[in-house]
Amino acid sequence: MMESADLLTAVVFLPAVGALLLALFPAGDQANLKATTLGVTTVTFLVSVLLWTGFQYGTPGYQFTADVPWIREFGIGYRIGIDGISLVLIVLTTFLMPLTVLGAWRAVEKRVKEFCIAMLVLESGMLGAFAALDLFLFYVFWEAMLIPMYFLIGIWGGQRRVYAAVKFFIFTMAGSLLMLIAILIVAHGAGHNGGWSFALSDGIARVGSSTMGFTLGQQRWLFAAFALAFAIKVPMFPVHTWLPDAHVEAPTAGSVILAGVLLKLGVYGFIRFAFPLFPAAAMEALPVLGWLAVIGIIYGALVAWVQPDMKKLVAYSSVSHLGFCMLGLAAFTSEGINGAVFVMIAHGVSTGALFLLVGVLYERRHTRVLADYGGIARKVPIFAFFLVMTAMASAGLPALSGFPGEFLVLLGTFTAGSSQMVWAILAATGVILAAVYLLWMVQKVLFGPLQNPANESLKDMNLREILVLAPLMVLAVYLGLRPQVILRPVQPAVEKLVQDVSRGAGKRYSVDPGALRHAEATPPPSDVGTPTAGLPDRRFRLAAPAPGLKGNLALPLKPHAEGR
Amino acid sequence: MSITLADLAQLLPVWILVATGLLLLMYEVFANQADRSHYANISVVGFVLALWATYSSLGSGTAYLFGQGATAPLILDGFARAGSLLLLSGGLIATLLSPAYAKNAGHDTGEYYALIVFAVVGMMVMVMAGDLMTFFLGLETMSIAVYALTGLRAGDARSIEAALKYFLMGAFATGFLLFGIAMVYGATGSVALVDLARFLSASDSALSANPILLLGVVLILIGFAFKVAAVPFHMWAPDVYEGAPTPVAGFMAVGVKAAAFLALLRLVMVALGSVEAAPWLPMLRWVSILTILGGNLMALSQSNVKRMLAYSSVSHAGYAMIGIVAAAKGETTAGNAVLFYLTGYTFMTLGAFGVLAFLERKEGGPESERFGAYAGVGFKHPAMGAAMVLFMIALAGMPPTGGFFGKLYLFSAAIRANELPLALVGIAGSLVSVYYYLRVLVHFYMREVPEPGPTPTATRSTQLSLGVALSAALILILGVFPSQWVQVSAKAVASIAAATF
Repeated sequence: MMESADLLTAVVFLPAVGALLLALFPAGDQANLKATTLGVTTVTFLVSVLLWTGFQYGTPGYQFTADVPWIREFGIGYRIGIDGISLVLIVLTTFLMPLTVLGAWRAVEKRVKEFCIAMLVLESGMLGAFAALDLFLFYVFWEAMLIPMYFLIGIWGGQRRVYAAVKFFIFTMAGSLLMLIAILIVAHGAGHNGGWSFALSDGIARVGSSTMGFTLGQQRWLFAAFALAFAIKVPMFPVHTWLPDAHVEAPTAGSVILAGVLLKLGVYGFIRFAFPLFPAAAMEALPVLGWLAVIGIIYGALVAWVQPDMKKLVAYSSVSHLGFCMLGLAAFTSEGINGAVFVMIAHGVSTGALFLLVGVLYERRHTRVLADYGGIARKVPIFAFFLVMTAMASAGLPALSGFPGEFLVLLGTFTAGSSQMVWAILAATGVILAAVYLLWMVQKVLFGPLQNPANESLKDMNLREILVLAPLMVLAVYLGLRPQVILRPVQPAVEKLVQDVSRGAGKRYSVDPGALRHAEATPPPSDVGTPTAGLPDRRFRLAAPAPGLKGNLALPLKPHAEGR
Repeated sequence: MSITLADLAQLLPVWILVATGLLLLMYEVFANQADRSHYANISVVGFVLALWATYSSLGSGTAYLFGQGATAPLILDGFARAGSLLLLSGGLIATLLSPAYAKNAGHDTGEYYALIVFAVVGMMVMVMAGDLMTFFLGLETMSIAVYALTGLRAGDARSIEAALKYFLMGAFATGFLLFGIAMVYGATGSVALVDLARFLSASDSALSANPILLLGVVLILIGFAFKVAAVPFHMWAPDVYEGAPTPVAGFMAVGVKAAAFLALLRLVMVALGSVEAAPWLPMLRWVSILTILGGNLMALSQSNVKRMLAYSSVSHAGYAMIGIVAAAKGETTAGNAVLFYLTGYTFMTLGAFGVLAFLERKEGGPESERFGAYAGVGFKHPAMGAAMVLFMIALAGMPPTGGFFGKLYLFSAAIRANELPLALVGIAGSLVSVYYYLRVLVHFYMREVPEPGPTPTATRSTQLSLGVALSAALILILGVFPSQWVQVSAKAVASIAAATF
C-alpha cells in the first residue's frame, strides 16, 4: 500500500512522466502518441479515484499531506495536501482530461507529438496547483500551466491565435508577478528566527500574528496583489477581456480545459490562499467582490446573448457562471461557498460538454457562426439530444447539474444580509438570462427550417464522440440528482474556511461588525473532528444522507435573521 | 612585495589558462589546415582543467597573494573562486558554441580561442583584485581581448563597425575609471579596497570633507556602468552585439558583464557599503530603474533577434543592479543573490546565443537575424527549439528555471533591504520582457514555415549541441535544485565580509 502522500504525488506527476515518455516517441507515430496520451490521462484519472475512495469524509483538515524540505535556505518545501475542495477539483481535472484527449482525436492532425506533450504538462501543472500547500510550489505550478496553454492556443488555434495566446499570457503574468512580490513579502520572516518560510500554514500564522503580523493597511495591499492575480484567472469583470479571445482562438481541447479547469484555479486561489492569508482585508473586500461578481453575471449573460459565434457565446457564459462562484464567495456564507464549489464542478462538466459539442460541429462544417446552422436537429438527432441536455444543464434546470450550485449560491447570498439580498436578486436575473441565451442558441442551431444547403449532408456524431460526451451527460444528471456527492467532501472544508477566516478577521482588527457576523454565528473550533455533529441545527446540513434533491434543499431560511 | 612559490601555486587555474592560450598560439603556427578542428578541443580541455582546479580549491581558506593581508593585490577568497567557476563555465560554453560558427565565418584560427582564454584570465583577475590597480589590469586584459574578438569577422562591415565602436566606447569608459581611481588614490593615499573602506568608515565626514573622493567613486561607478551596459551608458551594446560573431556576442553578454558585476560587488561590499546614506546610493538606484525600464522598452521594438537579446542583456544588468543597491545598503543576502542571478543569466543567455549560432546561415546578413527568418524552426529542429523555449522562459523569469529563482532571490534581497519600489520596477520590467521573449517563441512555433522560403540552415556540430545542452541542463538544475549553488554563493559572499579588515 502506498503512503497516502505518495498517492497524491503520483496523481500530480503521472502526466508529466507521461510527457517525458512521449518525448522519446517518433513524431510521425500519431496513433501511438494519441493512444499513449489517452492511456496516461486515464490512468491518472483512475489513480485519482483512489484519492477519493481513500478520502476521510468529515475531516476538515488536509489529507494526503507531505512536507519534504526542498530549498531549505528559503524555507521552501514540497508541501502538498488536499481537502475536500481540492479533491473534487482534482478529480474534475483528471476526469475531463481523457475525454478532452479523445475529443481532440480527429481535430488535431498536425504536430501531434507536441500537442500531446503540451496537454500532459498542462495537466500536471493544474493538478499540482490544486495540491500545493506551499506558496512557492503553488507559484511554480501556477506558472507552469501557462506555457503549455500558451502553446495550445498559439499553435493549434484559429486565425488570430497568436494575438489571443500572447494576450492570455500577458494578462495572467501581469497578475501573477504582483502576486509573486506579495508572496515574497509574506514569506519574508514567516519562518522561524527571521528566516523565510513559504509554507501556507506559516504564512497564515505570520499574517495573523500579534507580534510580527502585518498592519491592516499592508494586508489590504497584499490581498489586492493576490486578488488581482486570481481575479484575472477567474476572470472577473473588468479583467475578463482575455477570455473571449483565448476561447475563440483556442482549439476545442484548449477551450475545454481552459473553461473546465483553468478558470477554477482563480476561484480556488481565493479560497485556498487569498482569503485565509488575509482574512481581515478579505472581509473588507467582500462588497467589491460581490458587486463585480454581480456585474460579471449579468454582463456576461447579456453579451453572450448577442454573440453570433457559438464559441464566443459559451465563453461569455463562462464569465457569467464564474460570476456565480465569486458571488458565493463574496456572500461568505457556508451555503454560498458550498454553492460556489458546486458551480465550479457543474460548470466544468456542462461547459466542457458545450465546447466539445461546438467542436463536433466545427470539425464538420468549419464554422461556428449560429446563422450558418438552423434546423439540423432532423439531420443529427444524437447531436441534438446532447446539445439540448447540455444547454439545460448549463442553464441550471432543476435535476441537472447546473441547478444545485446556483441555487445554493443564491440562497447563501440572499440570507447573508440586506445588501447581499440585492446581489441575490440581481444575480437571479442571470439565471433567467442564461436560459435565454442558451435556448436561443439551441433554437438557432437545431430547430426551424433547414435553410443552409451545406447542412444537408451533415453527419451525426460517431461512436467516439458519443463516448466523449456520454460520461459528461451521465455526470450532469447524476450531480443534479445527488449533489451531496460533491457536497459531502466539500462541506467540512468550507465550514473550516468560514470559521478560520471569520476568526482571523476578528482577531486583531476592528472590522465593521457586519463583516464579522459569521464569526459570532460560527461555533467554537472544538468540533472540527465531527463537523456536523456540533453545529446548531439551523446550519445547513448537506452531509446528512438525504433521499433526493427535495429533502436536501428544503432549507430553513430563518437562521440568519437573528444574526442581523 | 614578495613572490613566493606557494602564492604562485594558488593561482593554478590562471596558469592553466595562460598555458592553454599559449599552446593554442603555438599550435596554430605548426598545425596544418586539417588540424584546425582541434583548437576548440584544446581550449575546452584547458577550461575543464581550470574548472577542476578551481572547484577542488573551493573549500580552502582565503589566500592573500603578493602582499600583506587584506591590502594584497590579489585576494583568492571563496568569492573569487566561486566567481571564477562562473566565468570559466561561461568561457567553456562560449568555446563549445564557437567551432561550427567560426568555420562558417572563416575565423577558425588559434587566436580566436586564445583570445577567449585570455579574456577569461582578465576576468578572473578582476574578480580576485584586492586593489583598484590590479582590477584595472584585469579589466584591460579582458577588454583588449574582447575588442579583437568583436572585429574577427573582418569581411563584414558590421563586425568592423562593432569593434571600432566597442573600442572607442571602452577607451572612454576606461578613461573614466582610471581618472576615478587616480582621484581615490589622491584622496586616500592607497588603491587597496580595504584602505578605502578604512578611510570611509574612519569618520562621518570622510566624504563631505573630500569632494575629490566622492567624485572619484562616482567616476569609477560610471566606468562600471559602461562595462555592464547600464542605461544611460548602454549605447554601444546593441551595435556591438549585432556585429560581433554570435558566440562572441554571447560571451561578451555574460562574461564581461558577470566579471564587472562581481568586481563591483566586491567594491561595494568591502568599501562602499560601509557608508550610511551614501550619496551614490540614489545614483545606483536610478541607474537600476532606468536600466530595467529602458532596456526592456527598447527591446520591445527590435526586429533583429540579436539586437533584442542585446537590449535584454541591458535590462538584466538592471535587475542585477537591484542586488548591488541592496548590497550597498548592507543587506548580506544581496551579494548571494547577485552571484546566483549572474550564474543563471550566464547559462540562459549563452544558451540563447548558442541556438542563434546554430541557426545562423553562412551568407548571414541582417535579414537572416530578423524575427521572421525564424518562422517554424522550432518544429524543424525540435531539440534546439525546446532548448530555446527553456532559455526564453528563463530569461523572462519563469519557473522552473534558474532565471526565475535568481529573480526571486534578487527581489527577496530588495524586500529585505527595504527597497520594495525597486522590486516593483523589476516586476514591471519582467512583464514587459515577457512580450518580446514570447515573440521569439511565436516565430519559432506559431508561424508557418515559408515554402520554399529561406529557413535558416542549421550549422550542425557536436560541440555546439553539447554547449546548448549543457546550458539547458544547468539552467534547469539551478531552477529546480538551487540549494547547492545558493549555499556556495552564500559562503562566497560571506568570505568577502569576513575578509574586510
